[in-house]
Formats: sequence, structure tokens, C-alpha cells
Amino acid sequence: MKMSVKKKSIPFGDILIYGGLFLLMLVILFPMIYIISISFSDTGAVSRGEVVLLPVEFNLDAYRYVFKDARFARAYGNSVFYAAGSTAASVLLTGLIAYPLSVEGFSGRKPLTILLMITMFFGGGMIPTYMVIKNLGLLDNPLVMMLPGAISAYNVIIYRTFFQNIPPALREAAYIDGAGHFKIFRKVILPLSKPLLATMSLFAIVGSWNSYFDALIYLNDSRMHPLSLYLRQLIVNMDMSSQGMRDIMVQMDVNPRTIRAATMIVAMLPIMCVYPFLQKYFASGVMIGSVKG
Amino acid sequence: MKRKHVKAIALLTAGAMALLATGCGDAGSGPAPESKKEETGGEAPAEEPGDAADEAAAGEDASKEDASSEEGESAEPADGTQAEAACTFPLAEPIEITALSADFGRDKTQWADEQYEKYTNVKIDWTLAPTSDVWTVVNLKLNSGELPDMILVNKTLVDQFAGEGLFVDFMDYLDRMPNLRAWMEKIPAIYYDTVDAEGHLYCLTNFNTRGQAPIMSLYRKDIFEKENIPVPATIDELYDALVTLKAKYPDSIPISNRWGASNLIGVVGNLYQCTSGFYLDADTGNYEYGAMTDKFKAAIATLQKFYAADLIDPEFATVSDDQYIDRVVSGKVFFWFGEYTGALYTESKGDWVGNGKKNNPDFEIDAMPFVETEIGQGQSWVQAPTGRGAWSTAVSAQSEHIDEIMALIDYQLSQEMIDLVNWGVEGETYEVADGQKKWLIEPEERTERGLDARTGMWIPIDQDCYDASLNDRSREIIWDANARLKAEDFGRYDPKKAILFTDEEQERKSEIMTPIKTYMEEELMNFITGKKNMDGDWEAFKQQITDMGYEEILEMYRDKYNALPEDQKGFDKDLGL
Repeated sequence: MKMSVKKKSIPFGDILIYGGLFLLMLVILFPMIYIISISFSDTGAVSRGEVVLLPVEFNLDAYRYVFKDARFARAYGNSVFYAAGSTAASVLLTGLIAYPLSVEGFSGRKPLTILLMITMFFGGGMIPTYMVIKNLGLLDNPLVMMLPGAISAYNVIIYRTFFQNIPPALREAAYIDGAGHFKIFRKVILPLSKPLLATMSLFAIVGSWNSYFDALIYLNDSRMHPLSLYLRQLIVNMDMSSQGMRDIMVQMDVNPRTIRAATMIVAMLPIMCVYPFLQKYFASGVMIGSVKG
Repeated sequence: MKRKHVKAIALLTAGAMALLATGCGDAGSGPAPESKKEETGGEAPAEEPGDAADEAAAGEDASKEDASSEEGESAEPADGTQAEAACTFPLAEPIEITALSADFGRDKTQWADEQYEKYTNVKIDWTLAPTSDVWTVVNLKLNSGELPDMILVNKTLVDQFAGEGLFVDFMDYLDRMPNLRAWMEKIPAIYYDTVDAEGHLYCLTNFNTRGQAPIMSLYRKDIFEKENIPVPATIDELYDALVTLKAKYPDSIPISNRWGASNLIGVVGNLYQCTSGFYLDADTGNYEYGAMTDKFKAAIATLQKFYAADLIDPEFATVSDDQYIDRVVSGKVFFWFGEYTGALYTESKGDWVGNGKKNNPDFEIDAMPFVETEIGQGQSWVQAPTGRGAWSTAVSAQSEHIDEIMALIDYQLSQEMIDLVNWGVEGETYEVADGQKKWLIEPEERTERGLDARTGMWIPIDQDCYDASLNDRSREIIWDANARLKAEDFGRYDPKKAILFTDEEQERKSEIMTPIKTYMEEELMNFITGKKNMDGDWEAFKQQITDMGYEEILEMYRDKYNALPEDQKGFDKDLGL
């Protein structure tokens, strides 16, 4: 007997939605494609405006320049280092502060939470903070990119909420078996918090990768600058509007667009590659701090 | 405990300097000439900075004259009897100082920096702030009260912080700085730009060795010749010419603009001998507020007329640098009221004519004299040698090496250091042929070696150096313009002394002028695009500005100008040319 295959007709609504989304995708992708094309094109062709969608006079000069540039490589390494350190510090320290706050029997819970909330609303401002950092001896120290911003009160609350959802029975069972507080934290709580840790790590990495202002004011030695700061210098137009400087700027070899474009692509590539793999954590992690039941 | 030792050493050093200075004549120059001669290979001995004798001072001035321009006027030699340098360089004992500057895209560890250290025996521990955010960093350092020995500042910041005693007063050391005195005589603006109301000079503005006329009117020579249109001499001829061209080339954008609407308005305003804000008027001899003058009205009327005939880029206020260059190079733009002639032919790949020729082999841009308007000869902004205090050097009053640093700054102004930092080492990176310096190395190598005049702290930029990187035609155009400056009186000069305001006056000024400026900018766009007419609407515009109280500020400007001593009035025409 022949099995008839029923042809499913595509509903009109679907066509509309997919079509619309496809157009939107093209619109969003165009700047990316444009930058990629520029990075692979010849400088002269770019300044003549010939590049639209596809590279013109394909060459790899820009990339060669970027990879040869020692400053770029150093900045890249710095960024990776700061991102790793910052994430580790942030996750660990926030977890440590959130765990006691999530335990019911802890008497210092209320006052500590209030103190924490106060920091969420009030800050010292740029100059007093600078003085504090200076007096702590953190200027020109890589730790300044990892420690001061490690704990955010908002994140502590998210962690706390998550930890509260772990049944106290587990904790008590471990306690009866003779585990101390740190062991409970390490062996019981953390393994159960994998989704939380993954999501918060991701946020921390992205935040650290993009931050440039702290590096700007606290890191005097330009060898310690992260990639974000290096990119910023490259791309943000220098405002040299005073006499004498303008003239020089006109004649100076302002980095050709091809090199700027290549730098942007190389800086973005790792994050772009990592995102799809971590996306599932994002999706499931979005509701992570919410109260259940 | 350590501080006491350091203080003692500093005092001893200062004492030793004083002793050395008196006996500096032969003893100091002994070791110095040998080391110099090896490095510079045959430079005239008169150029050594270490010599304290009279001939040295005169010799330095003479060599400055040679190098600065072939057709320059002679600078008066410094008062020879007073010439005594505080230290000889390279220093006998190496010192290390800290400095903060903008990074301008490079580390300070290249060949040029090594040469600098060799010549001076001073090691500079640099803090380089990214140029895009340098003022944030400087502000922070000044607020925290801990400065490096030498710091990049600007006049506004210095005025703010001078009261806290953070900076060294250059006037206190002027008698020990012969090079600085010589430069101040040649370019008085070096003094006037940053001196404050009580005669203190807390910072030294950066400057180039001379000014120039970098902006000229440009036109598409090939198009004009093809259509047999003579070079316009008046604004009406220009209008007719462009209208004809637009009819023949409907896709063209005869006049485009970059850097925002204020740039276009500024350039056309200059053509009409005024600007949109407060300016010193040569005709009335005092300050005027541009928007209220007839000159400015005529300028805006012209812009309106040109815009109505589709001669001006509809996006003139928002076009970005890249888009602008695209328009130029693709051949759409035919005329520029005022543009940097240096962009025409350069050695970098971004030059306009080179790229334009790839699209159209006949592409040619040339400079033309400014057109005449009903007001008179069109003028153009002239580039003064100094930066007017917008980028200056200050020395921290808490530094332990103030004497050495002041001597270093003076040494940086000597011809030798200017050559070193701009050109490099003679015989290795440049040569002197027929009294003119010529490069021996390619631009890429220059960048690699760090020869971009950003070694040390704000050593004067040799204007010749930048001219040398242009090709012959561009250089011709600029020198032509420089020569014609005086003859044709087309320079738009800054006032000799900028008007200084106290804090309260500054506040009052902002209070009144900020809303006026916002209103004016909006309305000017309406006028140019033709939404409002130049008769009744312009009167209403002027009335509104009067109602907003600009006259109070104008009176402030005028009173202050009248109160200036006679030698500080008028225009700063000393370009050092």
C-alpha cells in the first residue's frame, strides 16, 4: 500500500514572519559584512569608495599589519588575562559573600544585607575612588582590573536567591556528616550551582572584555592596557582642534580604514566564536535569579 | 628620613649648578663638543647648547634663523650678556624624571627616544594616556594633587589649579633660559598665550617653528579648464561658474564640507572678514559679536543663495570625514571655500589627487586666491605658530629636579634638539643640501624610528619637516600662500592677547551665551536652508539675540580690550615666517 505523504502547506503568517526576520537579519548583518569587506580590501579602493559588499582588490595587508603590531598582541593578552582573573575573582568572591546571606540561621543577615544595599545606591565618585585605589597601592597593578569591581551588590542578590533554592536539608546532611562551612560551600553548593556560575561567568567575561575606563585612569603603563582601550584609541577620532595640531592631523597617516576594520574583526572574533556555545546557558540562565515557587 | 636626604642633595645640586653656571664657559663645553661632534657629524660648533658665552647665544639664534625659513626676517639676537645656561647637556649625572603626556599612537621607546636620552642623559619615565581621553587622566592627576615632574596641561586647567601652587612659574627661571627668551622674541605669542593676569607663566604652550597659511580656496582645475571657465575673482563670478557647472554635471556636489556646519560657516565667515562669535574687528578696532554684524549677514545670505541653487551638499552639516573624502575623490566636488592644501598631495595613501586620478585620469585640484566679496578681500584663517595654550607643558612645583627640568626645557628649544626630534641625526636620517634639509629615509622608517616630533616633551615641531613630507606641488602652493599673506592681506589673525575672564565672569558668560549659541546655531541652519528669509526674519533673529542679553558680554569684552596696554592690542601677526 502506498503511503500518501501529505504536503503541508506553509501558512501565510509564517512566510511573513520569516521574511520579515530575514530582512531584519540582512539589515543587521550589513555593517558587519561591510567591515569585513573593507578589512580585506586595498586602501586606495576603500578611500575611493568602491567597496560596498565584496572586497575590492583582495589583499591581506591589513591583517598582516595587525598581527605584526606588538601593541595589539600585548593588549590582547592583557585583555584575556584580565577577563580570566576578573571572572574568577568575581564568581568566587560573590559566591562567598552570598552563601552566608542565604542561610536562614545566620544572625548577621539583616544588617549585612542593608549595608550591601546601601552600596547599590551610593557611590563615592571618580576622584575619591581614585584616591582610595591609589592609597591601596593598586595603581599600575594588574589587580586593579580584577579586584575593585569584583563584587556587585546586584549579583550578590542573584546568587543569594539561587542558593536559597537549594534545599537546606542537603546542607544539614553534610553538616551532620562532619563537613565544615567551607567544605559545604565547596562540595555541596557550588556543584549544584553550575548554571548560575556559567551564566554569571559569561556576564563577567563580557563586562571585563568591554571595560576600558578603569584601565584608562588606573593603569599608567601603556603596556598593561587591555584591548578595549587600544581599540578605542584607534577608532575614536582624536579631538585635536587647536591650531597647529589640526594641520598635523591632516597630514598625519591616520590609520587607514582597512587597518581599523581588520583590528575590529580580530578583536571581535573570539567572542563571536564563543557565544554560540554558551548561548544555551544564556537562555536558561536568564531566569536564574528569579524566585521559584 | 629619605625626604631629608633628597632635599639636601637637591640643595647641593642647585648650589653646584650655580657654581657651574658662573664658570660654565670653558669647563662645561669641554667634554660636550666631543660627544656632540661624533653624533652630529660636523654641525657648526656654534650650535652647541652647553656654551655659556655670548657667541653661543648669538650663534644659536643665527642657526635658528637658517633653519626656520629661507626668506624669514632675522630675529634679534638674545641679550648676549645674560646668556647663561643652567646646565650643560648631556648631564654629567643621569637623572630620571616622570612625565605625563598623550601617547599619539606610540610607545616612547623607539630610536628617537634613545637618541634623546643620549643627548640629554635624562631618562624620562613616561605615563602615556590615550590621546582620546588624555584630559580625563590629566584632570584626575591634578585633582589628586600628585603630579609627575612634567605634565601635559592646557590653559584652562592651569588657570583652575594655579591657585593651589601646583606649578612652577617659568618667569622665575627665564633669566636662565636663553633659548626660551629668543623664541619669545621671535614669537611673542609664546608669552602672551599662557601668561595670567598677574604676569605668571605657569605653563608653556606648544608651538611650531613658524606659522603658515595652510588653508586656501581650492577648485577642480581640470573641470574649469574643460568648460573654459576662468578662475573666479569675485563671489558673483564664483556663483555663476558653479551654476553653469551644476547644470552640466547634475550629479555633482559642487561644494561639500566636513567637521560640521560650524566649519562651513566659519570659512565663509572668514571670507567676509568676520566670524560667528566674538571677534576682534580690524575695521572698528574693537570686539564685535559676529551674528549682529552686517558682514556676517552678508555671509549667511551668500550661503543661502548658494544652497538655494543646489550648489551646497544637502548633508553639509553631518558628513563624516570618510564620506567627505569619498565625495572629493570620486570627483563630485568642484570647489572648496577653504581647505587644507596639505591634503592634496601627500606621501600617504590618502592623498586626494592621487586617488582622484585613479577614478579620472584628468583629476586635478589647484589653489586659487580668495574671492572678493562686497565686504572686500576674502580672508582665511592663518595658522599661528603656537597652540594658544590648548596643549601646554607645566612643571610640578613638588618636583625634585626643577632646575634640571627648566634647563632641559630650555635645551629642548635649542636648534640641536629641534633637529634631533624632528629630523633625526644628520647623515643618518637626513642631509642638508643647499641649505635645505632633505630626508634620507622613507616615511615608514621615520615612523618606526619615532621621528614624529613627539619625543621629549613638546619640543617645537619643525614646520619645514612637515612641508618636506608634501610633494613639490603642495609645498609650492603653501609657500606661495605664505609669501602672499602680507602682500594681499588675506590673513585672518587672532588677537595678540586673548581676553581673560575671572571665574564669575566666565559663569556669567556661559549663562548668557550658551542659550544664545544654541539658538543661533539652530537659526543659522534655517537661514542657510532657506526656511527663513534674510529680511524680516534676520531682523527678528537679531532682536531675539539682543533680548537674550548679549550686549552685556560684548561690553565686558570691549572694556577688557580697552584696558589692555597698547602693546598688547591688535593682532598677532608674528608668524615667525
